[in-house]
Amino acid sequence: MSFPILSLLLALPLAGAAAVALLPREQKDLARALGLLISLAVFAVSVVVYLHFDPASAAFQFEEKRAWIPETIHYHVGVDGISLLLVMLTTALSPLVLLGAWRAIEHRVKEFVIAYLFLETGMLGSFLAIDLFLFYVAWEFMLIPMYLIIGVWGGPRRILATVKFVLYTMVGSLLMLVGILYLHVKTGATTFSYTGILELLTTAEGQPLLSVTEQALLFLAFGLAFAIKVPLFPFHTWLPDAHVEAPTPGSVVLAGVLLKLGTYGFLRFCIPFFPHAAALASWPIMALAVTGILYGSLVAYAQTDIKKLVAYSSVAHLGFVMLGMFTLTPEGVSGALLQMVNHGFSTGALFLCVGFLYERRHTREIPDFGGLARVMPVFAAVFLLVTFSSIGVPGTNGFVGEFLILTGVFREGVSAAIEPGTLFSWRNLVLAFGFLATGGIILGAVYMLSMVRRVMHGPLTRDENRSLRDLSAREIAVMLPLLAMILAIGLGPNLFLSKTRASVQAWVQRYQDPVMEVRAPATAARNRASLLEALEQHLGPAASEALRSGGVKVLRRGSDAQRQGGR
Amino acid sequence: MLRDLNILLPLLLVGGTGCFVLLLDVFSRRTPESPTAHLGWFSALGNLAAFAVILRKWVWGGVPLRSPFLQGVLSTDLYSLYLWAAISLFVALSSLASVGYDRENRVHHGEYYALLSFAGLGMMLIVAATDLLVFFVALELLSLAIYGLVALKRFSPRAAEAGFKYFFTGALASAVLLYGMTLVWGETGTLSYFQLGSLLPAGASALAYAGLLLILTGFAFKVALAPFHLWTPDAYEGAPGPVTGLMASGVKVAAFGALFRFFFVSGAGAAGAPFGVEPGTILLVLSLATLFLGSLVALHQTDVKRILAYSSVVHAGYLGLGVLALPPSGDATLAGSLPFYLVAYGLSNVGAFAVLSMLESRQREAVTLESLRGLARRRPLAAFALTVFLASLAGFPPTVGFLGKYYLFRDLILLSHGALTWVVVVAVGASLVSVWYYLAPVVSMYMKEPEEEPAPLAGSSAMTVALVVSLLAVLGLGLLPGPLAHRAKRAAAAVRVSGRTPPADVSDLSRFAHPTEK
Repeated sequence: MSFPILSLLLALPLAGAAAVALLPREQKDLARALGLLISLAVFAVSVVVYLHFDPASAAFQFEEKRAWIPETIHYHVGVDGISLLLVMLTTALSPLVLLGAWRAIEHRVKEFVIAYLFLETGMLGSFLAIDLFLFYVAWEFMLIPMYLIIGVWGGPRRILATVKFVLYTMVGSLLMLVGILYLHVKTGATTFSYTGILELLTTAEGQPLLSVTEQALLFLAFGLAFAIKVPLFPFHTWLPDAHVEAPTPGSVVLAGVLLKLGTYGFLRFCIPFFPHAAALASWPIMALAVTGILYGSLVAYAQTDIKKLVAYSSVAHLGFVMLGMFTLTPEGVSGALLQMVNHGFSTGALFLCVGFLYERRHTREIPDFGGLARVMPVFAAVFLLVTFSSIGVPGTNGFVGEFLILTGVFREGVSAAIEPGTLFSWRNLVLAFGFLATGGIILGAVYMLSMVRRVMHGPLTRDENRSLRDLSAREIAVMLPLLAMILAIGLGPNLFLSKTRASVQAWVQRYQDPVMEVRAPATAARNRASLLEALEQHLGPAASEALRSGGVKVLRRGSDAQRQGGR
Repeated sequence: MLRDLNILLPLLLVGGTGCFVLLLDVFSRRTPESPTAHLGWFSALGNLAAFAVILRKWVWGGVPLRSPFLQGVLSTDLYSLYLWAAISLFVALSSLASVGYDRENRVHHGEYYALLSFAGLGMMLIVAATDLLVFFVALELLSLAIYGLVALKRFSPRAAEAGFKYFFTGALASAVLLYGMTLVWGETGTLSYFQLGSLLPAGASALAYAGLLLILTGFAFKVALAPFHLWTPDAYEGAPGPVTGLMASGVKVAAFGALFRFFFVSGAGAAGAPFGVEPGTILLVLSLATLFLGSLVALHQTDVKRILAYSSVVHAGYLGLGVLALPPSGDATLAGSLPFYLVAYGLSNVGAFAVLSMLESRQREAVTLESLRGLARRRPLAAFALTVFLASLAGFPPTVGFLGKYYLFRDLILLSHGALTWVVVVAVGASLVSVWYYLAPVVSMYMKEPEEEPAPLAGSSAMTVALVVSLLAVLGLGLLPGPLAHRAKRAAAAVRVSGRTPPADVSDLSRFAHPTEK
């Protein structure tokens, strides 16, 4: 086995936390610096992973598997094109969060750094785990440091916010635990291995192991956990509280990484495990996603607290991610994946900017500002670029993500394979969602730009604002990498998408059949018949009989084998 | 004879420790600073010696598990050994947690530590009993010792109330239990679990069934299953902190350990019932009701000991489900979730009460959420430990409590082939509610500052030892549960084996055969 680099990734923050714990309490700057150093080291390790990642393979790479709890449970980690970018997002944001927290956290600094490093391990563990049990452990483990970060270092209503955050998350995750156990028992799997269970869910005849009802119930059990985390409308009510009360670094990591765990969960577990249920649930989920986009935007527009505004904008942005994902098309899914990363950088940057303002003025109310561009020109420029990224102006990362997502939606809507039917056919629904979501983009521009106008432009109305300092060197150092990423993804998205392409292709391909059977049963049957017919001519009647009973899975295996043989 | 004594060595050590503590108290000189500290340390060491003997027996094998002298009344199998180890450890930790507490709360009587060990002896006997009469004697030994301990703070009206309530409900439970036993004996002519095991599953008569239900009711009182749980919060609140810790850990382990053995060896759980409702089904209903009621009432508590009292009621519900998570005809997937859960739960509780014992004193009898404020600043270790113990009780990874729940839920789904999934969903609902009341102390410790100058805290090196040992066990077994899970599995399997093959000489020793032919 090669060097266990993913374990190093997971162990470094923990070891760092232990080292920070040994520091004397008074040495605040030392704790901060050590935390920053550790998170930079983690980032460096993840860069090595990124560079050595083979983009041509859809399989899990850097896999490590060790027995953990006898017989059934393994410490099993690996990374594929779906998790790679999210791992990078986590490791890249962490040093920025710790650097950004330099002044935002003034008391119990040592404890904060420890909590944050624990959180980082939890987040990375959730993305890297390919054992369901390990995933659940990491997923729950994350909750405790985040609970403390909001509850100890948060604003005046922090206790309410943090308890709400924990309870909401637990509602979903406990049901997910039941789902995991049921899946484990029902598949008769000897382990909790992700790929193992995935294999077992399709029988040897190519039929799904679980009935559609079972699939639907399990989809709900898993999906609720993820929908709350995303948060999908109407499960979003914990989010504004948590964001507003959390300290700036807490908000950044909450928006930047934690929400992505919800969308990642759908992508990794919900859809692959229960493709029929996912296909059935696509239109309700897309409807909720679009509602989230419109509702989030409208509510954001009504806010006077900038942080709350950004929080509601998250609801809208994550709506786009869910919309793209549930088209189950390559464009939609890559768009969703990219948009997850984009949202991490741009919303993280927005929360940092809000934090900078709050540290200076101790208020976040829009009416308290106005004309800041005159006294803080650098800040105004940075803020504007981040805003552009958030509303998806071409040239920034937001544009690429939203464009891909909408391409996916419209392509699914006009795709030839989809049967035109009555007014509420799948095709018409998807097209309607596409148009509404496009409207949502415009709304996004409206609330973000009007906020920028009221805060940055116009005359300086308040005397307190005249003496505001512009960004310090440290603050610029925090923002520069974020701005660089915003532009890099905006101008060269292929640099990043290329790593994910193989995995996304394989992912979409795997669910084509069940999805087609649900969305367009007639076309699916026609395709299947013509495929069989073609093969019958090719192979003769005896072989075709075997194929007919073996079903589509055999066909796929055959074509995969041909493809591999050809290569 | 010597062999029998060797088997019973752990019991002799624990009982002997109790007797010796009494003597030591008489013949040693007390110092004013810590009048009974030496007794506490001695009691802890005696029980640890028993723990070490058990580990030695288990680890180095060669255990003569069967003894003809004891057959039929005490089963000294791996299951007993496993629970004995847990019980002796819990008694030792409770003794340590009492050092320093006793002076602070004026319970510095030598009898205190003697009673702890005697209660431990009762617990060890009750889990090994395979005869209802031995079971009853062990239960009384255990109960009488605990009655005394609960009411030991003689100056405190709360303690008097607690002792009074506990004694009366306990005595009532004993009477109900005894009455049930007479009915069973009258119908079947035997009190041996093994002989019952060959009679009951075939079909119980109405009277025997009524007897079983009365026995189950008596058990329900003792382990605080709803609706027989109402004594719990008052008794837990009034008892000295370390004693409450022992009640929540050792007594629960013993009572559920005994119930588990009785249910499966005697076949009472699946006894053919005249009305079509097996006692197992009734236990299921009681457990679910316990989960529901316990969780709801716990939400409104502000006294931490009462919160933990209701938490122990809720856990009785989980454990009741655990009793059901064993198939009558065991197979390879048998996981032993109940023995695992008992240890996981016991360790978390012993630790939690060790922390609370530091906060209790004569001036401040009630440990409220208020009095926990700012503990994270004043005693970071204690606050961190209490957080971990509460997280373990709530079932957060990576603590041992999470794995206990995991094994329990998995077994419930696995052994019923998915049919009991709805029960797991209900149980999970209780876990969710529990997060609320387990978080309340954490909020106080970490997120709120005291409004007035807090009273000074008690504390002793012994308390710290108890706390650190429990903390390491809860976290260590949470990360690497393998060794414990393996032993729990073998322990549960041992119960089944002894149930399936009743020893040949049972009839010779069953002195309680029915006087008249049926």
